[in-house]
Amino acid sequence: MIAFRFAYLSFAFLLVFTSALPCGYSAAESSIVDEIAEEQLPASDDNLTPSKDHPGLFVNGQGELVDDLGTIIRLSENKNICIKCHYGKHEKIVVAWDKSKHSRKKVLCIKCHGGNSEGSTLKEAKDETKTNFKHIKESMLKATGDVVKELAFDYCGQCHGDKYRDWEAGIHGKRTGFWNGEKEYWVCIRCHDPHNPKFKKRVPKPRPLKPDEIVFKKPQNVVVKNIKSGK
Amino acid sequence: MDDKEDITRRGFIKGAVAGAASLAATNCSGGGGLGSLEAFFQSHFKEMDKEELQRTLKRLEREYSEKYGKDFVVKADKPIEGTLFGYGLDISRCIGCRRCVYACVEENNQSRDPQIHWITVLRFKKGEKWLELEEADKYYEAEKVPEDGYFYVPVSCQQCEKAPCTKVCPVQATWKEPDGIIVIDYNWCIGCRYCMAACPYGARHFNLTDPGVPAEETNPNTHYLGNRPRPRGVVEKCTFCIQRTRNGRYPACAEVCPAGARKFGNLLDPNSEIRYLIEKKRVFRLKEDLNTLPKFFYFISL
Repeated sequence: MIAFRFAYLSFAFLLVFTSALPCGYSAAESSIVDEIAEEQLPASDDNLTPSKDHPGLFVNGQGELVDDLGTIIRLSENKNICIKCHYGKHEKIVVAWDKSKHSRKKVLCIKCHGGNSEGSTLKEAKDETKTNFKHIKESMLKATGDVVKELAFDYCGQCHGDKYRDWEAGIHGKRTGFWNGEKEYWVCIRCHDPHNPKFKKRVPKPRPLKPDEIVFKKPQNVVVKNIKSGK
Repeated sequence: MDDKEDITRRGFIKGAVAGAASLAATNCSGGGGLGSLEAFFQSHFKEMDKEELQRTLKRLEREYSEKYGKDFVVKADKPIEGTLFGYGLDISRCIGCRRCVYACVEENNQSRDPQIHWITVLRFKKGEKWLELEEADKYYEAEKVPEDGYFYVPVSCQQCEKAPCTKVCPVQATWKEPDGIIVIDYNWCIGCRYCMAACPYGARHFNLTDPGVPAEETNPNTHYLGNRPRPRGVVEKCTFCIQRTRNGRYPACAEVCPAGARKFGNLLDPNSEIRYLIEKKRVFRLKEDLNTLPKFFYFISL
């Protein structure tokens, strides 16, 4: 238990230090890999049997998912529980999330992707009633009318209530269409990457020319005469 | 040299009058000469009757189509009843990417060479006194924006309720429309630039030479008081995209803003976006002490 907590703390420290490094990607990757490697210690309790669904974890006598020290694991409490398996396939997403504020504030995968946080096996965790693993993005981007508002509230608005209120009134975020008629609401994930929601920096368009850089061409078919000298 | 024309203003007017007489006598039609003659005798926009307005619009369409080689539409949509346009800009969201500047140039047929921009994006350092608009950096260059420690304030025409620019115009070529937009009749403007001197926001721009707009980049959907191609020697400025907003659409800058910082709506409609932000957010206007009462509201939404 203590060792596990220590591992968790060290992971937190690693995160703090790596986020300060300029080469964030490689550092963040290694922190997760190290963390996974650290946790894969041999079992210290003979009652535990290795879990088939969650490599590196074990199932105790009561059929609960536990770590190597016998601590019962709830999916909502351990932020690496999904990453353990999904890191390989969704590396970019995991790294982006790991660098975001969502990671620091412990907004875990299951908050949006569903799943049963009480489940101890893979089957239980993938509770179909709460799961929408793949289709969040498509459903959000394709939705029209009031469904957009519902989806925006379900996924982002429940935590970001103030932003949701402004967005619904048309003050936060972008709207296109008609000011006196039908408007197109730009749903949250059209501007914010949900795994790293901070607005991305952009390359600005070229600066305006300074007055002395602007060249005024003489009109071609007109000869400008000096009135006084007549030349 | 005899084949080059020596044009002075007085000479031009003399020639135009003589030409008018000869053209009237021969009753010939078509050609650029007749177009410019009609333009010379054209009335002020507000004094035109329906027939003359239609004739003028047709003539301008013909002129522009000839000049740029594509079909131009010049409209003169009237203001929508019960509207007073207002604009909101969220300076806590603006990232200073200048996309609005170039969207405006494309939508409103602004001169590319020499360069004219109706929107100027000013950059200010955070935590310093920043209300000196004239000392702000508008030529900033950065690899990526927003830069740390800076914020950005785009400035264009503020569409004042008590507009100083309209008061000084000696020929009344610029005035406030009933929906609150300050417009210019480019055919009536004499190019004295008094309005540019009167504007406290530097929002008006002058065509010192013929505006250089490549034919393939022109926007053929135009409004007489808005984005139709301008001649040399007239003043121009932002009109809240009059050709779009009078048909209910958002201005081009508001549609292009990637951060969604630009808001537009009807100040007389209590349910509009602009009324919501004025009532709920911290709002300020530029140079309020001048009592120009701008309808361009800057706000902070954080």
